[in-house]
Amino acid sequence: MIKIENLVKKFTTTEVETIALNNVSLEVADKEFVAIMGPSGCGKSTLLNIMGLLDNPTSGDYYLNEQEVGHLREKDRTKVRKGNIGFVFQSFNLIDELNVYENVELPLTYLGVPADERKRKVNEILKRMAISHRAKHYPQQLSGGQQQRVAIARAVVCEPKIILADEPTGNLDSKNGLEVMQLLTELNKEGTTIVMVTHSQRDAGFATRVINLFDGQVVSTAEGL
Amino acid sequence: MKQAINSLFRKGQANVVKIICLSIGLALGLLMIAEVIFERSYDNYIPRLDDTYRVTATYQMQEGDPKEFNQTSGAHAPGIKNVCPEVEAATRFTWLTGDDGTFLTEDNLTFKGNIIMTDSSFFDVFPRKIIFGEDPHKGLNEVYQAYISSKLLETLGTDIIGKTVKYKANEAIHCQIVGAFEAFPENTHLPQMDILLSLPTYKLLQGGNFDSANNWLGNDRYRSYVRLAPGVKPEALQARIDQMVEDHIGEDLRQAKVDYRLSLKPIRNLILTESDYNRVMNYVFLAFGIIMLAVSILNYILLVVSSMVNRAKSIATYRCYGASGKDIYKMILSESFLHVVCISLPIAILIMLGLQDFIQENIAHSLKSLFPASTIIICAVITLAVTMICGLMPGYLYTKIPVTYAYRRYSENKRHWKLGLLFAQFLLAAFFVNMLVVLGLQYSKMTNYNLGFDYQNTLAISLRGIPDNEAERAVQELKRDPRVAGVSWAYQSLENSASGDNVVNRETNEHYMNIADLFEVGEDFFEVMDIPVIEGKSFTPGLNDSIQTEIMVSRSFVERMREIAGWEGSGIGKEVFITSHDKASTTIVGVYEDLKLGSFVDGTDHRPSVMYYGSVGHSFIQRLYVRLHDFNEESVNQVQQIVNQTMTSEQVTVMPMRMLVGNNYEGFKHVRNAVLLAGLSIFIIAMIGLIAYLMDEVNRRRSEIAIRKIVGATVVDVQSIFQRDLSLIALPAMLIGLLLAWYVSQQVLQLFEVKIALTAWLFGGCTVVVLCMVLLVSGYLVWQASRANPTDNLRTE
Repeated sequence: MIKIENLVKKFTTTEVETIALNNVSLEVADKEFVAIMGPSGCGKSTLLNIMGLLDNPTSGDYYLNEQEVGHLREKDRTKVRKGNIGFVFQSFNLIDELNVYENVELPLTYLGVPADERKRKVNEILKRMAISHRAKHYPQQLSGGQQQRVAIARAVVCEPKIILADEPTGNLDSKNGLEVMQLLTELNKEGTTIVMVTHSQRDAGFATRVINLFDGQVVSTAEGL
Repeated sequence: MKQAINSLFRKGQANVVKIICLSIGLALGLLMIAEVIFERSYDNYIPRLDDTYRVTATYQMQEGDPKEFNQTSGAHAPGIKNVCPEVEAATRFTWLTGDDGTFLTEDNLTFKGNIIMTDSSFFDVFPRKIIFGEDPHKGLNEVYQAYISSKLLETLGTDIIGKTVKYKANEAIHCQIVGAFEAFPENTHLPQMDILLSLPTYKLLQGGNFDSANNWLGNDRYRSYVRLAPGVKPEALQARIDQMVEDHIGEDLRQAKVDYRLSLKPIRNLILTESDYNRVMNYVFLAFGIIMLAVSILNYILLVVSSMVNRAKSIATYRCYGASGKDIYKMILSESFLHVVCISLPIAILIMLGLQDFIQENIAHSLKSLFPASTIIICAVITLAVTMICGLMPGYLYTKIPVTYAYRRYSENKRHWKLGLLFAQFLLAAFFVNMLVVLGLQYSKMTNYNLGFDYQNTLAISLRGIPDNEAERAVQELKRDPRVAGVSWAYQSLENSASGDNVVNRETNEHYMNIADLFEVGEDFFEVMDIPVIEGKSFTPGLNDSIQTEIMVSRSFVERMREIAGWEGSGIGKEVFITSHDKASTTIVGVYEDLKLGSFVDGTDHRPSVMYYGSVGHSFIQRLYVRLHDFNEESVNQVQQIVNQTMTSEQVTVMPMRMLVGNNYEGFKHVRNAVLLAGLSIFIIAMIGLIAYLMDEVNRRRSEIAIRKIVGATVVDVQSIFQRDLSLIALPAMLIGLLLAWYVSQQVLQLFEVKIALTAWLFGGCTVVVLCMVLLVSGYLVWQASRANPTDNLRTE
C-alpha cells in the first residue's frame, strides 16, 4: 500500500540545512499496523507528514497504492488525501469554533457527501466512539480523552484506507490512552491500515510491526508483540 | 514615556502603520475643521460686526417672483443714514475696472490690482488702521485721491505715497496715492481692495453730468452698508426706509409696476446665510473633518486591539509584578501621547506643508490664514482629545484582560470589537467612494452641459486695454489662419450672468419684464458660437444702414411678450424698447434659441435675453471669440501666437471657453477634490485596518486552516470561510454607507439646477467595486495563508 524509496527531506534556513530524513526506504502493507519509534527529532513526524501528503520530500519516491505521490502539487495532494487518509494528532487539533458534530462532519462536507448521509455517518461514528451525548459540545468543554475520541471519529468518518496517528496518546492519561489504542486496534482489525508515531513502548506493542528511526534513518524493523 | 519610546519599534504592534494613518487623519481632519472655522469666522475682524448690515434690495416685476439683489443705487446708503439717526455710519462702494487691472506708476513701472471707488465713511463701517497718509474722511472726499492696501504698499514701497498712478487701459483713470490702509484679511466677504479711489472721482470719469453716487433709481452698482447704534434692530428702521424709497422713487416704481424694497441684512456669517451651497458645503466639510478624525482613531484602536494577542502576555506580566490598572492606563496613554502628539501631529503638519500648493488651490486662500491662534488652540484641544481616546479605550481593554487567561491564550474574546471597528470603516469607505463618484459625475455633467452655445471648441480673448486697431488686426489675422473656423466678438462673457435691463412700453412707460441684456455682438457671432437662429436672420452688417436699430431676441423673449404684452404671431418685425439703450426703437430681426448663462451652482440666468450689433471697435466689446476646427494644443498655441503678434498693448492670454465655463465650478471642484482626498485616505485607512484585522484573524485561525486542509479543504474552501465571514460584515456596512451616500447626495444635488440621476445602478456599481476590492485584498491574504504547509501551521501552535 505504501512504498517509500530513498526518501530525503531537508529543511533549509538561511543559516543551516537540516536533514530530517536521510535515504529512508520502507513499505507498509495493506491492513498493517505499523508503529514508528525513535528519539525526539529523529524525523518520525516528518515521515508521517510525507506519508500523509501534508508535505513533499526533497528527493526520493513515495508510492501510495502504486501511484507515485511524493512530488504532487498541493492541489493534487489534497485530492489524493481527501477520503483516503485520516489523521489523529497528539494535540487533537479540533476546531474550537465547531462543536463535536461539526468537527466530525467536516471531512464529509469537503467530500461533498449529501447532508442526510453525512448525518447518518456522523451519528453512527459518534455512537461507536461513545461520544454521541457530547455532539453539541465544543472541544473546550471535553476532556482530553473525549477530544481524542472525537479526533479519531473525524479521522475515520469517511472510512479512509489509512490512518496516520502522530503520538495519539501523548496528551492523555493511561486510562484514556489505552482506550484510544484499543479503538485504533479495532479499526485495524476491521481493515484500516494504521501508521502510528509514538514514544511509548506500550502503544507500540499494539502494532504488528515497529520501525525504529534514528537521525533520519531507519535503523531497525521488528515484528510487533 | 521611556517605555513608550522603547515599544515604538517593537514587532507585532504595527506602530508605523498606526502613526501613518493617524498622521493622514490628523492632517485632513484638522485641515477640514480649520476650513470650517475659517468660513464661520468671516468678517470677524469688524469690531462691531453684530451692528453692521448690508443694504439688500428686493424687487418684483409685474410678472415673476421677488428677487434679492445685493447691490443698490448710490443714494440709498447715505439716504438711510439721513432718515434714521440710529444709523451711526453708512457707506457704499463700486467697481471701476475688472479684477487685476494693469496700472502704471510715474516711473512707468506696471503693477496689477483691483480698484474700488468708495466714499469717505468707508473706514467708519469697516475700520482698518491707516498706516500712512491723512484722515480718509478727507482723503476719500477729494477727487482723484486714493488709498492703497498695506499689501500693495509692500510691493510698491513707501515712495508711492504722494505719487500718481494710471490705469494702463484708460489713462483717464488716474489717482494720487495719499495713504495706505491695513489690508483686509482673507476671510472677508468684501472684494479684493488694492486701491480705494474717492467716490467723487466717479462723476468726473463719467463726464460730470451724471452723479451715479447720489442716484436713486437704477444704476444699482453699489454695495451699500450701514452700522447701527448698539442695540438697535433693523426692524425698527424698516418703516422709515420704506418711506424713504416711497418719497424718492415711489411714483416711478408704480408706473413701472415694479415692487422695490430695501432691507438690512446682517454681515455676520453672510457667506453662509446668503448661499445654500456655502452653508451645505460648510456642514459637509465639518462632517468630513470629524469623519477623517474618527476613522483614524477607529483604525488606531483596531490596530491596538489586533495586536492584543501579541501584547496580552507582556501586560499580564506587568500586572503580575504589581502594575495596577492605573499604571496600565498610564503606560498606554503615554504611548498614545507619543504616537499622536509627538509623532503624528508633526507629520500631519509636514503633510499640510508638503501639500500646501494643492491645499491653497483648493481652499482658495492661504494655508497660514487657516490657522490663526484661536484655531490653533481648537486644533490642539482636538489633538489632545484624539490622544485621550486613542489611549483610554485600548487602556480599558488591556486592564480587563484576566492575567491567567492572557498567559494561556488570549485571542478569542475581542473579535467583536475588531469587527465593529471594521464595520464602521467599511461603512465610511463605501460612503466616500459613492460620494466621490456622485460628485465627480455631477462636476462632469455641469462642465459638459449644453448651454446653448459651443464652448468646447471656442477660445475667448480679452480686449480690455486693447486699442481698436489692434483688435481689428487680430480679427483679420485670425480669420486667415486655416485652423480657425470663425472669429467674432461680444460684450458678454457667456460663462457669466448678464446685466439686467427692462423691456418697456414706450407709451405707458410700463416695465414688462427684466431681461438679460447681452449688449453688442459681432458679425458671425451666432455661427461662431453655434447658437441656432430659429427665426429671421442674424446680424448682417453692410446689407443696410438699419443695423443699429436691429435687435435679436431669445425664444423665451417672444414667448413671454406673447403672455405679458399680448404679442401675436412671429416676433420678427416687432418693435421693442429696452432700458439703458437710448435708441428710438429697435426692431427684432432674428430669434435665437435660449442660452444658459452663468453657473448651475448660483443658478443660471433664466431670463429672456437680447443682443445688439456692434463692430469690433465698439467701446462695449470686451472679447473676441475664436472657434477652432480642431481643438488641440497646437491650434491654441497658434492663436496665442497671432494674438501676441497683433495685440501688443497688453499681454493677453487666450483662454479656452471650456476652462472659463469650468471656472464657474471651481468651488465645487474643490469640494470634489476634498472628497477625493478624504475618500482615498479613508479607503486606504480602511484597507490597512482590513489587512491588520485579517492578518490577526489568519494568525488566530492558522491551526484551523491547517486542520481544515488536512481533512480535505481546498484553497477555495478556506477562502470561502473567510470571505463569507467578511462579507457578513462588509455587506451590511456598505449597504448603510450606500444609503447614507444616497441621502447626502440627494441633499447636495438639490443645490444644483442641473443634476445627475441618482440611480440604483450608480450606487450599486460603486458599492460592488468597493466590496470587490475588499474581497480581493482579503482573498490575497487568505490565499497566502491557505497555501502554507499545514504542518508548519500546526507546529507554531
